[in-house]
Amino acid sequence: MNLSERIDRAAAASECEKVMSLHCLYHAGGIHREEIEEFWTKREDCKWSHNFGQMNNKKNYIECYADEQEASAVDIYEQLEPIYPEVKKVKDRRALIEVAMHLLASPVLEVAKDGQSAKGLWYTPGCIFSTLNPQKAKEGMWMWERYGADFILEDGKWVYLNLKVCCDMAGIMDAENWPFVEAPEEPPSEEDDSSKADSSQVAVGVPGPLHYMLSGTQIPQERPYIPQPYRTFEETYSYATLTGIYEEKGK
Amino acid sequence: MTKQVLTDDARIRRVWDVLEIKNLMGRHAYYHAYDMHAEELAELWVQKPGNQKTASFGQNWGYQVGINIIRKNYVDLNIKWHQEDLNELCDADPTLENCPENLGIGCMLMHALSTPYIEIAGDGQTAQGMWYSPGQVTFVYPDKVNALWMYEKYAVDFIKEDDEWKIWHLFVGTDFALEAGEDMTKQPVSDTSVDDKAPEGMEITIPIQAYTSRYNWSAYPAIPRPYETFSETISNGPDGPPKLKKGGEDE
Repeated sequence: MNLSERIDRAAAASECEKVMSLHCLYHAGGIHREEIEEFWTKREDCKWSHNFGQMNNKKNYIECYADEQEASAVDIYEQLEPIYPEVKKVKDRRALIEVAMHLLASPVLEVAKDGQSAKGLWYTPGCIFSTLNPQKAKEGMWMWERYGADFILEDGKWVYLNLKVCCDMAGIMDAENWPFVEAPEEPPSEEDDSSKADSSQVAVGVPGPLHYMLSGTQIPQERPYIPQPYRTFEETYSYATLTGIYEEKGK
Repeated sequence: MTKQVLTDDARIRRVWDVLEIKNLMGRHAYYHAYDMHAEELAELWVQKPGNQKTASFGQNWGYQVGINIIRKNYVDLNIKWHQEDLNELCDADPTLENCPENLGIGCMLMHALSTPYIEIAGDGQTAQGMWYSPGQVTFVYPDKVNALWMYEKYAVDFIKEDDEWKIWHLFVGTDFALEAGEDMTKQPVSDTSVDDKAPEGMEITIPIQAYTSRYNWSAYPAIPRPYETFSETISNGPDGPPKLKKGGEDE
């Protein structure tokens, strides 16, 4: 590899790290639609996965990650406004849902030899909190996850092709044995809106589980896979690969 | 910002700039933890008189502007607080020596930096960075130990002086402070005083609510965007918050 190629790879790794951090910063504020528009691929075959399943194309991703979330923002605003009228001054109601603060640590970044794709793996020791919420009580949870990201170079810009989130632990912040403490159930709203909630749920294209939370019987799960040096995206694994129940079915 | 083809030299310069800025902020974190505040101002912050005049340290409760006021709070007031705490500890335990070496005894502050997002200006003279910081602060008093989890967002403007990056505007927005073992749901919703009120004795040049988690996610400081020169971006100094702009908005 010559010096110019090394510089390419160093610059690519730096840009991919920025894309990953930008995702976290946007996600914290619920800025999901802009995230898809600004730093996801233009391709329709992108995929976003979590324990609960996979949004298996751009349309499904927009429905679940942007449309549904914006509907949820309206719903939460309507519950909050009678309790805290000052929320009227918050311009972007998505900010009122919660703050999902997923921090990035322990990066592994591999840029393909052909310089057209890259893969990244992170731990994310995060938390989710809210001050104002319909429960009328502050809420704080810790959440430890892992991120596996496929990036591609598109029109000279690094963007996501696939993102895989594996959630291992979630529980009440600083509670004793917090990964095993169940979060308190949200109180039902004054109106019975269970049918509305059901009808607003958009299904992910591929239902999970694709990864399992920690339990007393859960063996360690080696995913997202650790990036290895590679030449082209076609010759490596993709973070769109279905895991969990799909791996088990294949055995 | 127009997209231009960069030479190898320019590309590696920008990658290196990002590394240098990460190191600079890493040093800030350790200098702060080691109580080396005077050294931090002398080595890591701006030194040119024009930049020192506009240097700022912003927190939830407003801005300290100018290096002299920052020094008064960050160095002198910090020593005063440590001395008061040491006096109390020495009164309670006569075996403890009341000497400068014992200032800060029993205290530990760790503001870790994660999720780095750094934009170098097109002209290479300034940069903006944002980090999430999972931290802990622990203080010892004669009758108790006060240990807090503290989660914050850092937003920083950097400027190059004689080819070296320096901290110009530092903004630290505290999202929450939670006593170890405390149940966050028991914190009154109305009480963000730990995070939103300036400590007693601190001199604030511009006292405003520059940041709060009262409404969950705060839109300021702004997530950095690519920019050409500093005049075209949103400052992390006192010129930045929407509230301080002419005809300023509330949120």
